[in-house]
Amino acid sequence: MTLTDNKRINFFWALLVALTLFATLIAERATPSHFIVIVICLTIAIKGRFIIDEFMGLREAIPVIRYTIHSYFILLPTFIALCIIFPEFLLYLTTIK
Amino acid sequence: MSSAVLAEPVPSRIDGAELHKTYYGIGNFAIWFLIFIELTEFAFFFVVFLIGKSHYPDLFYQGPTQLNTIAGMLNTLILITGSFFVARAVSAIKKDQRKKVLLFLWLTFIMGALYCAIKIWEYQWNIQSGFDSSTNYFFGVYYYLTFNHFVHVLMAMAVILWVIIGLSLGHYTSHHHATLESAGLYWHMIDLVWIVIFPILYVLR
Repeated sequence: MTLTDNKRINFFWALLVALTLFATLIAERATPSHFIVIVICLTIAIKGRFIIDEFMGLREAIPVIRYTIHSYFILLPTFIALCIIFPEFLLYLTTIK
Repeated sequence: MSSAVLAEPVPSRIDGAELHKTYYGIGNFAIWFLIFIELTEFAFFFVVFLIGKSHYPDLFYQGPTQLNTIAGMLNTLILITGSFFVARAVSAIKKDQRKKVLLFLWLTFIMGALYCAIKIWEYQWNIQSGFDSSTNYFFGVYYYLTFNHFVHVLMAMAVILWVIIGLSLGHYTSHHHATLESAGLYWHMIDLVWIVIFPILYVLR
């Protein structure tokens, strides 16, 4: 992308707002399902990535910081999706017998 | 805004923050340590939330429908916009546009104040609707998570105020702004946490 710094920031702000409105619309309208869980978790990962790369400017950071923060926003939404889709596994792990 | 508001930049000097910046690329050891600690803390809260969800599926299915989604959405938009203003402030200081930096930092501070006002209103709305922290496990986790985040927003506002004072005293220039950048990183961190809190509390059932 060849946008200037400020134009990039403006563009990604608009994109983040659109994703937030999309997630809220789903919350209000759609019937809960596994597909919706995956879509919402994907929006978490995408929004996280936009903020990390475009607002925080982590492209300039050393790799260990950049990859750690990136992986947080890959692992956490994946974990959330798995725990909601397969709650019985977490229930099994956390039940005192 | 008159130019008298901003002091002339002090002569550039190398300090610890700038030296750290040359090593870390952006920010310094202290801010990254703090950010990793905070993200870990909130990750534990999210795990507690998910464990609760697996044990009390009915409560956690009903929970989001009993919250004020519009308030949650507005706060998401406000924090994202705050992050946007911080990013513009950091971009402006790199061009020595100090009046713009001051404007964007105040706008960020106002976003923080707006977030707090909406959150307080939302808490009152919940209580009037009969939901407090002792209502059930879902609301217990909701209040714990959101109040903790609320405190972090207050801290981020204090940090932004600190850099506003620093800027007014002429501490930051295009070559010397590691502290301002670190303050911005802290603000982005509270935004990052909220973009997880909003869907798991208000959206996902």
